[in-house]
Amino acid sequence: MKRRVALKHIMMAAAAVAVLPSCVFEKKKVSVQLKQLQITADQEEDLAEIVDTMIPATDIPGAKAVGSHIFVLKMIDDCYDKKVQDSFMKGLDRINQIANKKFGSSFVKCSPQERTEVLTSLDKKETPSLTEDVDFFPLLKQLTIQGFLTSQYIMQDVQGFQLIPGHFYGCVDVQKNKLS
Amino acid sequence: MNIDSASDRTFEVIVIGSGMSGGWAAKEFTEKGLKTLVLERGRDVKHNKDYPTTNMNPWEFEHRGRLPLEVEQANPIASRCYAFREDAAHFFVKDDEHPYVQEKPFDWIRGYQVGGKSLLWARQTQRWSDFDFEGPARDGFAVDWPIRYKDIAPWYSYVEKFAGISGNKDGIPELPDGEFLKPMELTCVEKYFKENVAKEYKNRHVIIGRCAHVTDPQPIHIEQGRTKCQHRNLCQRGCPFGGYFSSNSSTIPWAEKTGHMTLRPYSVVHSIIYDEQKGKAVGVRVIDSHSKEMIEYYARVIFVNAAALNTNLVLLNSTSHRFPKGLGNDNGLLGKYFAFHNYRGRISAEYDGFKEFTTDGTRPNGGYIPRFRNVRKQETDFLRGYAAGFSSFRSKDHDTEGLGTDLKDKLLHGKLSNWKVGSHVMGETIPKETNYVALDETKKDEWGIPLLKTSVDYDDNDEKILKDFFEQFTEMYTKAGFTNIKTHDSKQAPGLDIHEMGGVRMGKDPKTSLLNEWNQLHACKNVFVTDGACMTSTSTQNPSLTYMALTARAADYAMKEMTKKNL
Repeated sequence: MKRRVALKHIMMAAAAVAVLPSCVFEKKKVSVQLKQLQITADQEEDLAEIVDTMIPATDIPGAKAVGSHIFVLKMIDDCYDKKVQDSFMKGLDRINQIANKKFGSSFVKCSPQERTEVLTSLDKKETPSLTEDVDFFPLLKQLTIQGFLTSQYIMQDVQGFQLIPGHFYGCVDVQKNKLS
Repeated sequence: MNIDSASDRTFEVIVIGSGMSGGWAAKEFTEKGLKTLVLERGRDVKHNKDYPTTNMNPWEFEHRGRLPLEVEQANPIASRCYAFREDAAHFFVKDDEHPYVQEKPFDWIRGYQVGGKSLLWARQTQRWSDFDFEGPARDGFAVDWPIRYKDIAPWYSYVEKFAGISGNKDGIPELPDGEFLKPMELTCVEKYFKENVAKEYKNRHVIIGRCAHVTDPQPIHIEQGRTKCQHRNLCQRGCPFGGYFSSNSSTIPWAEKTGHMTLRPYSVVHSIIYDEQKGKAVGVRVIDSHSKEMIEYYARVIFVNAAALNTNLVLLNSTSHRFPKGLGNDNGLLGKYFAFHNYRGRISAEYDGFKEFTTDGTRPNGGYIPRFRNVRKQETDFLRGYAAGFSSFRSKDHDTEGLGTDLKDKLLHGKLSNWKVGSHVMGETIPKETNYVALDETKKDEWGIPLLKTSVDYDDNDEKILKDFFEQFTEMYTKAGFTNIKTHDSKQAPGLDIHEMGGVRMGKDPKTSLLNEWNQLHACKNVFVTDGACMTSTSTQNPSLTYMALTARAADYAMKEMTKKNL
């Protein structure tokens, strides 16, 4: 299964980081195997910070910690056509361009407030996401949210999802049902 | 298996197909000690062992259920089915695996494996009544059914007890009660609608669906190794609890346990062998889908349960000097009068009430509204009518505006929506000679068998039924105070209902039908057809329960005839 392969890569990457002395110069690797998207480790890091800006860590982990960025990459890579993939890649560049224009530095080097401002300008369409027909930001946001809400941590640890035992009650008091 | 000698290839019964009805034939014959060969064109799927996704959590699906674009693009037909998703795609036939010719658009959804589509079905099990069996005779279409409710009622009971059917005894003559396990619950809004409809209309009923779920396991289910339905609502993956009925969890392992079943997967049936001297069928020609070798198997009795379309294909391809147009096809009607269910219509709305209540958990079932049009007499400008689903729920809506901690907070604290309600239509279609399946004259599949050609379409009656469904449900919804009512015609092609029926219809007269009242070919008595192909008319109920009952009934008859040496 591809997921296992991906996990293995994550573990191998983690192991490599653990054993390599920090002074060894090595090109960073991306942590997910993709078929179509040509993503660099820096772009992956950008994306991780982008999703974490959208849904930041609080007392509950944010989108980066639950792996929303990996999910976004996987979905764009497997479930969308080339047009969307191209617009997504251009979109990542676009975010850095906006950051540079507004704050004179790349997105990851921006402060949290500046990052939020960059993404908010796209979210509120104050800055056009792209001049082309595919608007990448709504899709990026939608997938980030989906990846977050359907992550193991949120579903299991926060919302208490369990496969079994199951039940169905057709009419319960909303107040008493807060937990489920 | 030693296939060298003819005696090793000889059985008392051959069952073609291991799905919903074939599984029942296998069970009935082996239980009585008859040496039975069950032929399955696809792979084996063992209960539990071969349900790779069954215990996966939602986050373990790398696309959260969605299929890669590449898979969707390669399978436009299968992709139209709601269950063809990341968790169950492995149980569907891929479009290029077995092509067919669509003279008119027809979505043929298939499951080529042991258990067939019984792994994937929607599990609704409503009985027919005489209002259904008497339909063709009363309204002057197709031919009269050779059976009535009293003929099948004990067999409904027989299969219901074994399969495990959950339901409520509603006392509705047009939808007879059965042997029910504990019913599932209606929601507050469904109960409210039920009362409102009963108040506003005579003879319109809203009930909880009768469905093949073990809600209250009886010793017979425990004996099958099945336990209580856990309401996971992940049935299409195969159920580790045997919570719903499938051949894989129930009839096939039951048959296996008798020691009298030989199950042969990867066996594509080419044709049935007719012996001109003996004047009966003597066996089946099988192509091993791996070796492509043709092997003959022999038996006294042959049950054809290949699923409606492939049953037609097998019979049409079973030609001989006696039957040049296909086995039993003296009248030329084989493949004709093909029908299905009209599933094109949906209606949705909201209800601004019961705000203090919601549902808890999931329900692998829904509400059901039996046919109320033209039941006791003809009252509209169209023939027959429709049943409908009716379900309600409140969703957890997420406000996705903004970014940052605000957004996160809103995501983690979804807001309960208003109650949403919805219905879908299940319309009876009228079998017609012009709706048919046939063999393509030139194209063949990879086993050298002619491709099946489908020529099936909607007609005016179907359009009128759809219009009436929209009108009546809009009225019923309005009277109940539902708002934001929206109707939708999916315009889907026939076939996607996955209720394809007919082509080898039952009837009293060999001149106008293929099968008699015992599902025997009129002209070749040791061949029985008890899957969807045998259906004379379609009525509005989900058909699987009726196939199961007809199969058990026909198997019982066949065994009695074998004992009497009539077969």
